[in-house]
Order: sequence, then C-alpha cells, then structure tokens
Amino acid sequence: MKKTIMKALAVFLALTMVSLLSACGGKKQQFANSATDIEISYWNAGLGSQWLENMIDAFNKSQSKYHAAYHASANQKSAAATYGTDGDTVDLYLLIMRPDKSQMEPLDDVLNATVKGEGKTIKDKFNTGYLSMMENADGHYYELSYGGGVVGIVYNKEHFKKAGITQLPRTTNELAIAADKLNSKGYTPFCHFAAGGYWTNMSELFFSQYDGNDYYVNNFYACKDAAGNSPTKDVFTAKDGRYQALKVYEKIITPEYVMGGSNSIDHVNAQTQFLNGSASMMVSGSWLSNEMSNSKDKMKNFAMMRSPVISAITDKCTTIKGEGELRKVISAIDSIADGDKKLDDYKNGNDYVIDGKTISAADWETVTNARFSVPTNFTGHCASIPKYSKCVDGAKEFLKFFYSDKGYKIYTKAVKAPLPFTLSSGDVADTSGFSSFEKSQFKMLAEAKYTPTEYIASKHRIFTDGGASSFCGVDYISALCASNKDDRKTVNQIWDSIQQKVEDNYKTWVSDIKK
Amino acid sequence: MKFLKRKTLPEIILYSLVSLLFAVVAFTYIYILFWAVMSGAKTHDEIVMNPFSFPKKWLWSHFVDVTRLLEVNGNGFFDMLFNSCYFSIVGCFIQQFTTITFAYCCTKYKFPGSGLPYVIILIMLTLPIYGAGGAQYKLFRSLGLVDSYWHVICSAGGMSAQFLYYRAFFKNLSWTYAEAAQIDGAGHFQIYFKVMLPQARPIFGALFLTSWLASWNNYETALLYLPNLPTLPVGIYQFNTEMMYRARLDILFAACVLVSIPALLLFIAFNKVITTNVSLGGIKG
Amino acid sequence: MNSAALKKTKNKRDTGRIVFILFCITIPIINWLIFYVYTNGSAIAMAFKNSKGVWSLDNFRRFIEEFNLPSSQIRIALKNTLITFGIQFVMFIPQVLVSYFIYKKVVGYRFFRIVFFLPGILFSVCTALCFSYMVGVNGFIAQGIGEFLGLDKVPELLIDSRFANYVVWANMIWLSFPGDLIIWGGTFARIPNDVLESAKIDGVTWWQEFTKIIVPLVWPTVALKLVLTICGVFGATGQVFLLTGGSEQSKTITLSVWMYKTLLNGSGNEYTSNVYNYLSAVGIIMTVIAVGISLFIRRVTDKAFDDVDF
Repeated sequence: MKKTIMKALAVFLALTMVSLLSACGGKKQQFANSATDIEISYWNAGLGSQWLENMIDAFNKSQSKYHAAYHASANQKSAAATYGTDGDTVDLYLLIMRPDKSQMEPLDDVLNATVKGEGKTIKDKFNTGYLSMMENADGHYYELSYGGGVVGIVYNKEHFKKAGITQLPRTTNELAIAADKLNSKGYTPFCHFAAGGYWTNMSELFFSQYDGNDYYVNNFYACKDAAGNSPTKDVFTAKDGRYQALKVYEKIITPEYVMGGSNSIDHVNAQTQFLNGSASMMVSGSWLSNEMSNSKDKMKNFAMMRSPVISAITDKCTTIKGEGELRKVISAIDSIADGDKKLDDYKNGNDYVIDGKTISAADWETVTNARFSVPTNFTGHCASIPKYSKCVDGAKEFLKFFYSDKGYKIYTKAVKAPLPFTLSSGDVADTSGFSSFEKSQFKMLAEAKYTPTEYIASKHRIFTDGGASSFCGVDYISALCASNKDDRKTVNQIWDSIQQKVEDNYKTWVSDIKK
Repeated sequence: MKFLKRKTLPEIILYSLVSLLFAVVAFTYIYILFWAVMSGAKTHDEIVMNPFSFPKKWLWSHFVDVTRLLEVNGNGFFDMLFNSCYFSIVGCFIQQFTTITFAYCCTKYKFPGSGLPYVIILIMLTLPIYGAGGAQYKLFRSLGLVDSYWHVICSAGGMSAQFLYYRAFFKNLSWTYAEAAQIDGAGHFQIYFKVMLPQARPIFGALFLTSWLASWNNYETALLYLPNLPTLPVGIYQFNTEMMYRARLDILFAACVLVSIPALLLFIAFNKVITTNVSLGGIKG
Repeated sequence: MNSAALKKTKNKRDTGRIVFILFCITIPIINWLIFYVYTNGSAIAMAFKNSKGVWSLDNFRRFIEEFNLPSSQIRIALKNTLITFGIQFVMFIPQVLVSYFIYKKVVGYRFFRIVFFLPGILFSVCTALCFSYMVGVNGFIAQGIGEFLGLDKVPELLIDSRFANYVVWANMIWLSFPGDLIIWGGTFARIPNDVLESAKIDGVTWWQEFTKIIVPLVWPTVALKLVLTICGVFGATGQVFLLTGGSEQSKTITLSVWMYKTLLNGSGNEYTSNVYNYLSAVGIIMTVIAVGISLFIRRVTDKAFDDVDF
C-alpha cells in the first residue's frame, strides 16, 4: 500500500516537473504602457473571450497606429482591482457598471463619431431607450455596453401546444390563464431559482410598463419627485408600478403553479430542469442558448415570447377599458410589428380605431411603449476608459471599432446575442445559421423602445452607494410560493414589509453616500 | 483479536458501538467522494435530473477533457498545476519557517513585548476588516508583487494562528538540552538550529501540511494578485462562474476530483505523521 | 524548569542574544507592519469616520439603532450565531472523543484516520452541492421528512423556516464531526504510555482512566482551542452562505453573512459608500467582546489547572 502511494507521489512530482518545463515555454502577454498600446482588462463573466480575441485581431489589422491586448479574469473584483489605483496601466475596462464615474473619461466623442463609410453617427445606431438609461446625471456618457442580452419568458413549445395555447399571452392576465391551462393538463407552469430568479428583471419591466419609462428612469431611479426634489423618500413610499407588479405575481407565483424546489435551487439546476421539461415557462435570457450549446436539438423546442403587458396598465388609459380591449390593442400593435398590417390600417386622424372602437393617441403610445419595453442586462457589461490612461485616444478608437458595423458583426458572430445598437443600415446582424431562439433575441431588441434593467442602472447614488433598491431586498417571489404555509405572505403583507424597510433604512441609504 | 484480551465486556461493547458509528460517518464521507467521481463521469443533465443514480454511460473522458478545458489567460492545466505547486510549497515553507522562529524567540526569550504577539493575534483572528482591498492592492503593486513569483515573500510573517501552536509546543519543550549545549559553548543560533529546531520537526511537518492544504485549495489570493499566474483552484473558480453560460457541472466535478487527488495522496502517505505530532502542549514529554 | 532557563537567558545580556532575537523577530514584525498595520490601519480607522469623512462615533451609534429596528435581521443573525457557536462548543466533546478512540486503536482506526480528513480535502463546492441535492425536494431526506410529518407538499428544507436552521446545523455537525484530527491526535499521541500502563495494572477502570488521567492531561489543549473558538464566535457560520444564502425567509442568517450581505447591498465600492465604515465599526464591537471573553476564559482556565504550564 505504502509503496503504491509513494509511487503515485513520485508520478505527481514528475508531472510537476513536466509542467514546470511547459510553463517556461508558455506564452505570456506583455503590456507596454505607452500612448499607442491599449491594455484591456476584461471581466470574463461567461461571454467567453473568443469575441474579444477576434475583435482585437481585427482592430490591430485595421490600423497601424495602435496595438491592443487584453487580460481577463472570471472575477469582477479582480478584473477591476487596479481601477483608480496609482500606477494603473489599463486603458480600457470591460466590467459591470460602476457607481463611481469620477475617474472615467466621457465617451461622448465615441458616440458622436461617424465611422468611415457609415451614414450616421454611432449614437444614432444605438437604441434610444438604452441611451436614456446610460446618460449620467451630468448629461455625459461614461460607460457603454460591450455585451449582455435580452431577458424574457422562455416557454416550452410542446407543452403550450399540448395545453392548446395558440395565442401567446399578451397581457399578464392572459399569462395567468395560460398557466391555468398548463396546470390542468398536468404541466407545472413555472420554475425559477433561489432569491426570485430572473423574475426580478420582469418586476422592473412591469414597474416601468405601469408607470412609464420616463417616470421609471427619470424619477424613481433618479430618486426625484415631480417637483424636482432629490433625494426624496416619496419615490419609495408611492404605491406605484412595483405594487402592481406584485399583484401580477399574486396570480401566477403560487405553490400550485411553481415547480417544487424553485426557491432553493441554483440557476444552473433550474435551467437544466426547465430544459428537460420539468416546467413550461421560465424567465431567462439570451445566454440560455449559449448554455445549452451541448444540446442544440433541445433548444428547438423553446422560444422566448414578447413580454406580456401588465393588465393594470388600463388604469393609466382613458380610452382602453378592460382586459378585452387591451388585448385587441396589443394584437393590433403586434400585427404592425410583425408586418402583417400597417400603422395606417388603424390610424384615424390623431387617434386609432380598432374594431370600431377609438383609442386615443396617448393610450396607443402607452401600450406600445409597454409592449416594446424589453428587459435587458446590458448594464452588467460596460466598457469605460480611465481618464488617467496614457492611451485614451487609442481606447476610444478601439470602442469606435467595436461600435462600427464591422465590430458588431465580429461580436454577434462569436456570441450570437444582440447588442443595444444595430448596423448603420438599421438592420441587425446576419443571423442565418443561428437558432430560432437566437434569432428571436435580435428581433426583440431591434423592436425595443426601452430596455429596463434591475442592474444598478440608476441616476442616483442612493441606489449604488446607499444600498437602496426598488423592492428593498425583499424576496417576494419565495414569499408568494413558499411550500410552508407559515412562510407565505400576501401581496399586501409583502408591500408592508417593503414599506417597513424604507421606514427603517431610508436615513442610512442617504447617509451612506460619501460626500 | 489481541485487543479483546485486555478489555472488559462493557469496554468491548462501547468500542464496537464507536466503531460502528465511525463507520457510518466514514461511509457518508466516502460517499461524497464517490458521488463527485460519479458526477464527473455523468452528463450535465444526468447530474441535475438524477443526482444519485448511476450514469447510463460512464464518461471517463471528462477527466481528460478537464486538462483541456481549464484555461485562464492563456495558462493551461499544467501551467496552473505548476503555479499551484510553487505557491503552495514554497509559500508555506517560508511561512512556517518564519513563524516557528518567531514563536520560538517569543517563548524562550524574555524581552520587552515578547508577550504581545499572543494578544495581537487573538485580535487579528477576530477582527473582520472591510475596505482594505484598495490599499492592499496598491501596496502589492508598488512592491511589484502582483503577477510575480516573488509574491511568496508576503508569507514571510509570524503573526498567525499557527504562532499559537508553535508557542504552545515550545512552552512545553524542555530547555535541558539547550542548557547542555550552552555549557558546551554553543551560541543562540546553534542552540536553535542544532538542538531546538530538530525536535520541532514533527510539529513543523504537520503544520506545514495543514497550511499547505489550505493554500492548495485557496483561490482568493491568486485570483486577485496573480491574474496571469493562476493556480488550479482559480481555474475551478473560473469554471464555476462560467457554469451560468456553459452548463457543464460534469466537468466541474471532474476538475474538483482531479485537483483533490494530490492532497488525498499526501494525506494517505503522511497520515501517521500528521495525526500524531502536533500538540498544543500541556503534556510534558 | 522553563522559568529557570528564561532567567538564565535574561541574565546573559550578550550581543549574541540580541542579534539572535533580532534575527527571529525582524522579518515577522516588518511583514506585520507592512502587510497588516499599513494596509488595514486606515480601514480600521474608517470605523471612526462618518460619511463626510469627519471623526465621529456615528457608525457605532447606528449599530445600536439598527439593532432595534423592526425589520432588522441583526437580532436573528445574533441568535443564530450564538446557537452555531454553542453547537461548535458542544462539538468539542465528540471531536475530542473521535481522536481519543482513534488513539485507543478502535477497530479500523487506520482507515478512519484517513477518511475523516475527506471533508477538509474535498472542495466545499462538492460537499455543498452533494448535500443540497440530498436535502432538495427530489432528494430522499426532504421526501422522507414530508412523509413522516404527513405534509401535503415536499418541504423545501433550505428555505422553510421550520427546517432550514436545523438542516444547516446538521450539515455543520456532519462535516465537523471528526474535528481537528491533527491537533487532537497529536495531543493524545503525546500522552506517556507508561502512565496508562501502570494505571491499568493498578486496576483503574476505563471511566476513571478517562476522567482522572486523560482529561487533565489534555486540558491545556482544550483551553487554547476554547480561546480560539471564542475568537471565532462572530464568524461562526458553517456553510450557511453556500446552502441557504442566509435568505430572510429561511431565517438562517448569521452575523458574518449579515455583514457580507450588507456589503453587497452597498454596491461594494469602498471609495463612495459609507457601508465599509459602518461594517468596520461593527467588526470592532464584535472583536472587543470576543477578545475580552477569550482573555477572561484563558485566565479562568489557567487558574483551574494551576500546575499546568500554559
């Protein structure tokens, strides 16, 4: 026995020696800190580094003035460790959105530039809803996304077919009806993972749909009341779209409709069970297809639906009365987007007419905005240039290259996920050869007017430094569908606990922001 | 059965029950190991859908795939293996040597402040520190210890929990030999290196192995300060993060098992040394 | 004998002695000053600064205020931490006994001596995932409990407030059962064999041997381990974060998890958020309490066994 072990140890030591030799011959990146060398620090959170390698190769070949190179870490803290420290040599950071913009070079130059041979500025290629979210309180842009994806409800086509659901849910009430149908056929309608899963993204969507993107971005996340006072506690205490979002979940996130175990399993577990048919719907994102790249045939059975519109939106409309009318309006809006109808088919003067019923222009716009609000996680992947960089111009050139048609094609070819901008022609990338799921991602983002996100897309530091958040850290999803009756809470109880948190913590949220 | 002869009936019953209990616990531990090996040879879907059943087909190839798939900043499996060995062995040796020397000095010599390390270490062990990350990184960078094989010199300290173990050991180590050597004209260095240190070999070895294991499994230091010299646990950490996009739990488990093997072999080989030589003292030997 | 030796060295104030002492302490002290005092000093000082950067005790006051808030998790965290600590404390007994019985060469001791190291060797991600599958709704433990209690739904043990804490504690007991084999094993191995042999000849029973010989002999080890355990009282969490994430519903939060979550909430930017200052203050409060108790315990245990050189 002992001899065997010693032998094994000897083998282990021999391996070490071999690896020592191979390590000596290994390639090591060298970074020169000059005005022509662009050093990129990349947080490799799962997009992989293939796209970046291709991008850098193409960039280095496209011009001769600058030379780009990168290093990556799977840990965001480690990739960002040098940010703002003395002697930092990094010229371009690819990280999660950062609260502190004081060390960043404004990227307005990049946005206002027009790439040679393209008919419009980079800014004009971007999704306007996305840009409104990224604009800093001082009017500048300090960060722009280099990756991310679209979030939405992914469904099992086979389950839907067998349950006889032909019309995808247009409103949240219809989503509840679909869930009921699935349930009666013996399917479990929903699954998620611990701490609410990706439903938190949908909450932001429902919230912004109900209150409108303008209020959502420029009041709530700016912590500013209608009179312009900021910070204000009122945005947290107002019974707004957040409450309405909870009301949506009241009907669908129930112990009967949610797969057992959802509240305590992790992301990978939930997603794998979902793709194996344990549940019919799950909120997920563009990364799903990447994740299942080793079982491509399975993906054919899954698609992402356009996110349903919150049924309570009729509160905000004057001419749309009730659920039935709302569904008709959404069908009309969809038919235009799908190219089946034209806007003129419904338009009558300033207003719109659907089945003989007149809908005001304001209501039409409210519902359209809601329908084409697409939750995203682009703020989780942001590029920024430290203003002390020796190669600010080079880094900007690299970003311009990334945001050019050429860069867009390189990225989308490698990652197969959309970006918040398009080709200068207005088209999305060539998606031939992509799966239908991947194609739908591009379509959804192309038609998106707004891109709400839960991810620190805030215009006030009370959220980034203070620790405030829209639902104040209350785990409402697991409270609604807890397997233990005593742990279950009603929507009003949840709302009360959110209000209690505001009451208890507002003072410290404000005081935690360093002056 | 030799041991039965020397024991009374209640003792035999007690010992049998203890053996049984130990066997049950040992079985559960072996089961985790077996489960990890088995999971490494399953498909990802099988792990999630049927975590406790045998794989339909044992895919041992995953254990080979690991060496190909684990990659951080251009460093492959064998680069990481080398870094792991270097930082854990060299780093721990330096650390143990400075600690034992420091502890010896503070225990056997009385000088102003020789009792202070004890209290300071207790405070250090208890005090959680937040917000030092930036300062720490700046310092390491300005000293050129980021991404450098010289990083091991940071381990050359003495203010750690292991100080207390060495302190207890030396407290109970007789000074008689040293006295004899002193009479023979040996200096302080000779006494330490020729008389005292050799006696501490077993505890040194055992504590070295303990800290080696901790360092072998530690990813935080390398992740932050050695981005281009990653160790194997960094590879595993990276893999674990990428799970979100790749869904390859199978490879994760295969990697975990593979990286645990050296530690397992060492603990089997040096088991007796490890479990019989460290003591916090108190027993005069 | 030691004190005599010390006296001797003390009297001998030669330069060789000073050189040797300097040789031993210089590197550790420089290392400590650079890598601990210099880097952490300002972080600790942050506890005494408010968000405007002015020296104040605001952060300490805030902790007391926050402790009493209705929605505060600190009280649950404190309760769980103390229970966890209590379990760790009680686990001392089986842990010592494991090494004792291995020392007494119970059947299969060679095997146990190796296998009992496994929880320390395997990556925690392995043990935590294996355990969470076992207690998950598709695992046999959750289904067994559901059936046994006649529940209509299989309980989600890791988030159900009825069970979550017990599951976390069970996990801790399971994995920490063998204890620190290195320390305890070494302690027993140093018990002089002749003492036990002669006691055996004198007809001492097993129980007498254990209480009258073994326990007093290992007492100093117990005392130091006790001090170390108390030092870690506020860090006592087991695998809470890996298993339940310290979620509010599960009521499994502990102090260190609470601190970690508070940190995450404050976005983790030490330059712009006051959360770091606040947590530094909380850390200092805890340290004062824990170190105070530790030193007190050390004094008490020293007095209890006067003859033991410790």
